[in-house]
Amino acid sequence: MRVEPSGDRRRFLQSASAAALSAVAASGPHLARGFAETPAPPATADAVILLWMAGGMAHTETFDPKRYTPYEKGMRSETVLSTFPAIDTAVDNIKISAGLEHIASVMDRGTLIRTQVAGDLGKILHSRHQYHWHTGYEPPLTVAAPHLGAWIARALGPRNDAIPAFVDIGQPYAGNGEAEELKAFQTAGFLGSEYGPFRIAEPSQAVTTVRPPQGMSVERFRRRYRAYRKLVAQSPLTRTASDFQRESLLRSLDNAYRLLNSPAASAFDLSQEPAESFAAYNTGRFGQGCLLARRLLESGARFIEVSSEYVPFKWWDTHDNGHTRLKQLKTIIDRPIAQLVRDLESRGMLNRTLIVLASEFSRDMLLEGKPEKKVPDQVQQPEVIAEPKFYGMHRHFTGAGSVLMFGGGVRPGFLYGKTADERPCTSIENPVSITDLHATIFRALGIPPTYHLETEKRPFYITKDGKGRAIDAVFSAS
Amino acid sequence: MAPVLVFNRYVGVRSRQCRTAVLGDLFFNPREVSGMALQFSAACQALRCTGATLLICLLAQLAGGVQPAAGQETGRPPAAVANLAGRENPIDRMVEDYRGRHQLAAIPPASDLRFARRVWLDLQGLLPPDDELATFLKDRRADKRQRLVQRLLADRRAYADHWLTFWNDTLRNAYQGTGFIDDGRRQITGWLYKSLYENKPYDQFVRELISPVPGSEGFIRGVVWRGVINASQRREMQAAQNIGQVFLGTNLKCASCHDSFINDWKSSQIWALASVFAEKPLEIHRCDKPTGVVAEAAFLYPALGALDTGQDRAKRLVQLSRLLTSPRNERFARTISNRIWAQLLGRGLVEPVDEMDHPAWHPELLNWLASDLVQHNYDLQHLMEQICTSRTYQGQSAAAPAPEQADFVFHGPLVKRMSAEQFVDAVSELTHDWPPITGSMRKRDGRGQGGQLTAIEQTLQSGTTKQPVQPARGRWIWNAADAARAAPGGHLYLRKTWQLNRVPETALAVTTCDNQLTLFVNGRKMGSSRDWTRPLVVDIASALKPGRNVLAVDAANWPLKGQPGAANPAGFYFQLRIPGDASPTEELVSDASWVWSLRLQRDWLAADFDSADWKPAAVVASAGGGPWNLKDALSQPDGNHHPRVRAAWSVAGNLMRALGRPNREQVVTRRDSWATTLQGLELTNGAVLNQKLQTGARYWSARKLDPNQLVLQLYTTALGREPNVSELQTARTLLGQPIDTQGIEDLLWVLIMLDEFQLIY
Repeated sequence: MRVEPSGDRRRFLQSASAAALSAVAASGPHLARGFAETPAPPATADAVILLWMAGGMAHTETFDPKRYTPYEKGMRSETVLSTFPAIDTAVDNIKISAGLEHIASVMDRGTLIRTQVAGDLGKILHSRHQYHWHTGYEPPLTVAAPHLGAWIARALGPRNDAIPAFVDIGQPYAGNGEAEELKAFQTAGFLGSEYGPFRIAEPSQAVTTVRPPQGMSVERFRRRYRAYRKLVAQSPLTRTASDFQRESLLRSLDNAYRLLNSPAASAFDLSQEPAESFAAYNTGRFGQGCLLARRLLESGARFIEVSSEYVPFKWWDTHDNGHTRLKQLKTIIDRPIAQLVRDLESRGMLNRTLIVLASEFSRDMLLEGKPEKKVPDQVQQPEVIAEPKFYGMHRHFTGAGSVLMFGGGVRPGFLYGKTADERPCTSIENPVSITDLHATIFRALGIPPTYHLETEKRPFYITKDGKGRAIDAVFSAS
Repeated sequence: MAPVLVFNRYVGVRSRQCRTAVLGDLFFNPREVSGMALQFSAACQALRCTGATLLICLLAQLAGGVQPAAGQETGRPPAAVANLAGRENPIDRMVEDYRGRHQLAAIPPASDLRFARRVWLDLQGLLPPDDELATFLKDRRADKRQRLVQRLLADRRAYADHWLTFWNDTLRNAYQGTGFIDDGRRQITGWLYKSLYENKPYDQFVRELISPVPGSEGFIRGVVWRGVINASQRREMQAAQNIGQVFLGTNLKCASCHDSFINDWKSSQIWALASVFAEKPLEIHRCDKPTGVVAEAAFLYPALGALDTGQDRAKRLVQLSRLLTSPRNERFARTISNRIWAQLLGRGLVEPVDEMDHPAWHPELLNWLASDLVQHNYDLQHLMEQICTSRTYQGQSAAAPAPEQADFVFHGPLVKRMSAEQFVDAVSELTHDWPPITGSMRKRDGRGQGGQLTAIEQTLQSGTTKQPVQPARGRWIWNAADAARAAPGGHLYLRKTWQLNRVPETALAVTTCDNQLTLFVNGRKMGSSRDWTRPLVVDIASALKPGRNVLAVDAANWPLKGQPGAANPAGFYFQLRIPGDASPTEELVSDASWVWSLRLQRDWLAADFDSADWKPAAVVASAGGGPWNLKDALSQPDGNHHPRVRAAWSVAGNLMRALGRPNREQVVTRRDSWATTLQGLELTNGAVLNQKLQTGARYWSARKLDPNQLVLQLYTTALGREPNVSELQTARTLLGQPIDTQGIEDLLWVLIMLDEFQLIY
C-alpha cells in the first residue's frame, strides 16, 4: 500500500535548513501535489470545519420539520412525522425545528441542503455509513481510503506550519463497541500517516497534546532535547547521514519539539479564552469542541472535524426516547454553532471558512433504509404509542437528510432540495449523493473532484472514481 | 512479461547454465524468449553465450507464433538453476558477479556488533541481551556468526513472536478490528503462531490457508462488514485477490471490477479463481453490475494443471492449494523468497514486493533462492539462514534510498527502521517494563476478538518447551467466612506486609477480585481489574525493595454505594510468584494473614502505616473453589520465562499506531519507514512512552549504579556498545549530580530517540 512518489520529498529534505518548516502533516512545499483531469473553479474557502452529528440526526426533528403531532398516550406511530413544532428563521422561506433558535437566527448566513441521500449499504451499521461519509468509499476495500480531511491536508497542506492541517476533535475510542470501525476511517489511509488526523478526544485537555509530557518543566524539556541533539552529533554513526530514514527521524523530532515549544500551541488552551466567550460555547464537550475549532482555525488549521461523539445507542443514535433526547441534544449544539458562525463573521473569517454540519443519515419512526431500498428493522416500534419512550425517530432513514453550510462562498439564506411532506419524507427534488456533497466541499476549496493520486499503479480519486459533481447552485454567483 | 525481464534472467550466468535456462524458457515461455531474441545484439555481449545459444534464441523467435494466453507466462516450473554449491555461499558468488558487472566496490563487512544487533532484530525482533552479546563479541571461532544465526533461529518462541507481526500484516490477522461484528471475520492467531513456532514448511503453510484446517479458515473468509458488500469484495473475491497478492505477487484487485489496465488479467480470470471458493456458481459482475455470465472455476495458470470443477468446494480447494504450491510453480517460491530477502536486506530483489512481474535487480539470485527453498522442502528458516550467513547480508549497511528513487543499485544491506513492534519491545527491554497482560488478551469475547495470548500459550504448552503449570496456592478471602455465598456491596481495603531479603528480577502478581480491585505496592498503583474472570497478571518487581514491603488492595463487591442490587458472592485472590529460588515466605499468597478495613484511611498505602485496628481476613474458598471455579486461569505457566508481553501480542495502542502498525483492514506487505511529525509528537509527549520511561527510570535508579556504570550499562543495552568520552560526558551531565530519577528518565528518552537506536544499521 504505497503512494507513488510525487518526487518533491527528497528535494525538500535536502534543503532541510530552509527556515519555514512545516510542523505537522506535511514535509514538502504546499502545492497541490496530485493530478486531475479537470480544473476546478477558483477556491472560495481556505478552511473547513465539519460539525459531525454522529449517530443519525433525524431531519424531521431538526432542519426539515414536518407536521407536528404532540405526544398523546395511544397515538398511532404512522401519524407522527415531527415531535417538535417548526419555528421561523432569519430567512423567510426556511423553517426549522423548535430548540434550534440560535441557529435559526443565523440562517441568513448559510445554505440548507435538505436532500442528502445516504448510500445503499444494506442492513445498517452506523460506523460503516460514517466510513462512507468520511471517505466517499464503502468498506471493505482493497485500498485504505483516506478521510476527506487527509485528502485536503494532502492537497493543500497546512495553512500555518505550527498548526496541524487536519484536526479531529471529540471522538474518544475507549470502551466503544465500534472503535475499530471508527479508527478505520479516521486515518489518512494510503496517503500515509503524515496526513493523518491530529486527534483531540477531549477539547478541555487539548493543550496537553501540545505541551511537554505531564509533570515535565519547560526547562527540563529543553535540556532533554539539547542533550539529544548533542548525542546525535557525538554518535560515531553520523557518517551514514545520507540515509533518508535518519533524516526523517531527525526531522520528525525536530518538528515535534518546535510545535511543543511554539507560541501557536496556546491556541489549544481553552483556559486562555475570556470567561464570557467560553461560557457562550460551553454546553459540554461538543460546545468546547466548537470553541477549540474556532481557536485552531484562527491559528491556521486547514480542516477541523468536531464530532458530537459516536457511541452505539448514545447521542444522536436514538433507539428510544427520541423526543426527550433530541431536546437535550439541541441544547448542546444550538448555541455553540450559532456562536461559531457569529465569531467567524465578526473576525472577518466566515467568508473564507466553510462550516458543514452533517450526519451519516437521518431517522424515521417507521422506515428503515429508504422507501425503495428497505432493510431489516433494528428497532421495535409499536403501532400504538403507549409510553413516551416510543415517541421519537428511532429507525435509520437513508432517503433524505439535512446538511447545513455556512460561509466559504455558499449562498446566504439559500435552501436546496425538497423532501415530501408526508411519509415517506424522502428526497423528491434535487437529491444529493455523498459523492456530490464531497465534490461540493472540495469545489469550495478549489480541489477538482477528479483529483487523484496513484497507489498500486492505479489512480485513486478524491471523490468516488472521480465522479463527484459539485452542486454549483449552492455557491454565490461570483 | 516484457522481453527485457527475461533477458535479465540470464545476465551474469555462465554460458552452460544460460543455455539450459534458455532452453527451459523456450519450452515454457516461447513468447518471452522470442522477444528476447529481438534484443539480440544487446544480449550478445552481456550473455557471453556460445553460438549454440544464439541459435536457440533465433529458433525461439521463430517459435514465437505459439503464444500462451495472457497471464499464463508466470505459471512455469523452476528454471534450471546453476549448481553453485560449494564452500562459498552462492549468494555471495552471485552478488560478486553483479558487482563485477556494475563495477561496484566490495562491500566491507559489518563489525561483529553491528551484525549482532542487526541479526537479533531481524530474526527475533529483540535487542541482543547484554551477556549474550558480550559472549558473542569475545568468541574467537571462525564460524561464530553462523552459529549465532542458527541459535537465534532455534529459539522457536522468539522467532514466532517476531515473525508473527510480519504475517499478521500480510494475512491481515487482527486480535480486534473491523468486521468482527456479525461474525464478518475470524482470527487465525493460534494456527499462525503454531505454524511459525513449528517452522511449518511454507508450501504446507499456504495449503492450510487455502484449504483450511481448524483455526486457519479466517484467511479465505476475509473481512466483511455488516450490510451489502460490493460484488468485487465478496468473500470469494477477497480470497482470490489476497492469494494473488500475497502468494503470487500479482495484483488482481483491478481485474475484480473490469479487465485490468495495470496488467494482463481479465476480469473473467479472477472470477474464475473466486469461483473455486464459492459454494454456488458466481455470476461475473462488472463494476458491481451483473453481466449474466457465470464464471467457471479455474486457477490463474492453466499451464500448471487443470482443476476438476465437478468436485465440491472442499475438494476444489485442496486441488487449488496443490496447484498453487506445486514445485513447478516457480513464481510461488520466488514471491516468498523475495519477501524474506526484502525483510532482511531492506529491499526486495524485485520491487514492489507485490509486483513479481517487475524485473529483479539480480534475477539469477532470486531464481537460485527460490529453487534452493524448494529443494529444502520450503523451509523458510533455511532460507533465512542461507541469507543471514552470507557475506552479503553481513556487509556494512548502505543508506536507504528515498522511496521514489528509481534505478536501484545494490550497495549492501539497507539501513532499516525498526517496526513499531521492534521499537516497543526494545524500549521494554531497556526499561524492564513489559506491558501487563490484559483480560482481553486472555479471553476471547463474543465477537471472536481477543484471547490471542491464550491461543499462543496453547502452542507453547503443547510444544517441546512445555512449561510447568504453577499450582494456584492462594485462597479466596474476604471479611466474612460466608462471603462466597453472599456479601453486601461496597469497598473492602486489604493489606499485607512482608519481608524481602533482596529484590528479585521478576515478581509476578496474579490477582483477581469479585468484582473489582486496584493493587498498590509500596504506595505505587500496579494495576486494576474489573472482571473477576480475567486475573490481572503484573510484574511488581520494580516497586519492591529489600526489607519491609506492603501490598494494599482497594477491593470492592458490587453494587457500590448508590447503585441498586442485592448481596452476592465476594472474594479476593492473590499470589506472588518469584521465579528461581525465592523462599516460600517471600512468595506470598492471599490467606488469613491479610488484614482488612471497611474504612478508607489516610496513608494506608504506606509500609509504616499502623494497621493495629484492622481485622484478619476470612478464607472463603480454596483457589479452585467457591462459585468462581478459576483454577486453570490462576495456574498460569511462567517457568523461567517471565511473561515478556511482546508488542506483537498486544492490540495497537496510540504509540504503535503512530509508529505505523496497520489496522489490518487491508493486506500490508510492507510498512512505511518514513518518520512523520505525528510520530515525533507521540514519541515526545505521548503517555504510553512516558509511562515506560518513568518505570524504567525507577528500575535503573533502584540498581544504585554509579554514573559511569549506569551510562555504560544503558549504552550497552540500548546500542550494544560503550559510550565514547564525549558521549559519557553529555550523558552524565543529563543524569544530574547526584543522579536523580528524572535524569535517568531523560537519558533513557534520549537514547531511544537516537537514530542509532531506532534504525537497524
